[in-house]
Amino acid sequence: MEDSGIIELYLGRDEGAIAQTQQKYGKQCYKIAYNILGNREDCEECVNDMLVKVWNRIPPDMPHNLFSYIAKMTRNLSLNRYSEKKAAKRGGGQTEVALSELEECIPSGKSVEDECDDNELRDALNGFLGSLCTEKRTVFMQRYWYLMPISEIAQKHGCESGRIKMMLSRIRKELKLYLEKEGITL
Amino acid sequence: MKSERLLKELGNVNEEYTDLSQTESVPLKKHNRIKYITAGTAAALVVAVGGITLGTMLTGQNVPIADTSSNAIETAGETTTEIAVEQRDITIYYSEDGEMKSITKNMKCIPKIIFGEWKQLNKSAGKAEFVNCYVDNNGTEIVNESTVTYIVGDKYSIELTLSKDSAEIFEGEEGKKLLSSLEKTFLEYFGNGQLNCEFSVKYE
Repeated sequence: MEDSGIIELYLGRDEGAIAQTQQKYGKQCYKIAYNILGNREDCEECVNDMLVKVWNRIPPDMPHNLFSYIAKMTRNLSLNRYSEKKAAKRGGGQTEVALSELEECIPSGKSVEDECDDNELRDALNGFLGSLCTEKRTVFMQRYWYLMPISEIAQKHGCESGRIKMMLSRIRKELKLYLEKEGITL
Repeated sequence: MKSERLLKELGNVNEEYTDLSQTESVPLKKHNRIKYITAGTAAALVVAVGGITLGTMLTGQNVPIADTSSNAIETAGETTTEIAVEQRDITIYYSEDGEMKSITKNMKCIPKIIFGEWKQLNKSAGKAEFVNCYVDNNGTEIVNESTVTYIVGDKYSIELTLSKDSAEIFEGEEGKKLLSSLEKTFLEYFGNGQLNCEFSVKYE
């Protein structure tokens, strides 16, 4: 079913919308959750929570891109669950590794007062992503948005993991420079 | 944690960057890398790379790698630079009776020759044939009127291409040891163990 048809079902409060969403995008959302959490039970719960949340939010929300909308929701729910698990010292998935990699992108800050707000950071990230070529942006997003393992990204692009690692390392350096240039302090 | 904030905020970037197409593959561009095609060009390039490496390690300065001025030799419309082949002690690793052993030999710094020596010492590597070797690093090039200066990066990658049927010699436990000996040999040759190198093998 087309995304517009699924949204119509949500708008008409037809519970078939949930089944259609799960059928069409459930697998991808499960993958996003799994990359973050690395645990089957938690992933299933996150995907179920996402389906409930989508049901409660459409309407009034009217997403232009249904996949982006639910993928983002799944990612946020999974990251929240990851934080809870981490507090209980039960972390998993790719998140810990991705976080330590992203440490390299943090511009050297001056003080807590100089910290940028979320909107500034988001604008800077959008600007940075817009400045990247398609291949770099895709690899970067696969790693830090979808939290895909490096080996999986390499497999998708038909190259060695070393090349992807190298590419990511360069992009992280570029991001750090970009954020510094934009005056972003975290 | 700051990186956690960055990771979370990435989740809120424009939808165009997060749609389903982003999970798919895109054709990656070919490396801007050095290709060893023939022994002749290999010799010249290895010395260029070796010179940069050694020069940088010793002096910490940037090294010009190509001369496009009148000092360069022009042949049939193409500009080439004459460089002597470096020859030095290179440690070759080999697997014998389940153990990793090594031998140091004085030889020309040409990947094909080094591979040949490695193959001779590793009896189970009989099928493997050298195709070519790429070296890349995260450095940058500065081009001005007469010279091209290469600022050497801090991370290197060596991609060795072998013949298709070479893959099977690296299968199993013995194969892993064999591959490890090849990796150690090339990493040692390239950076004497002092550089941050990644090594990979592909087959064609």
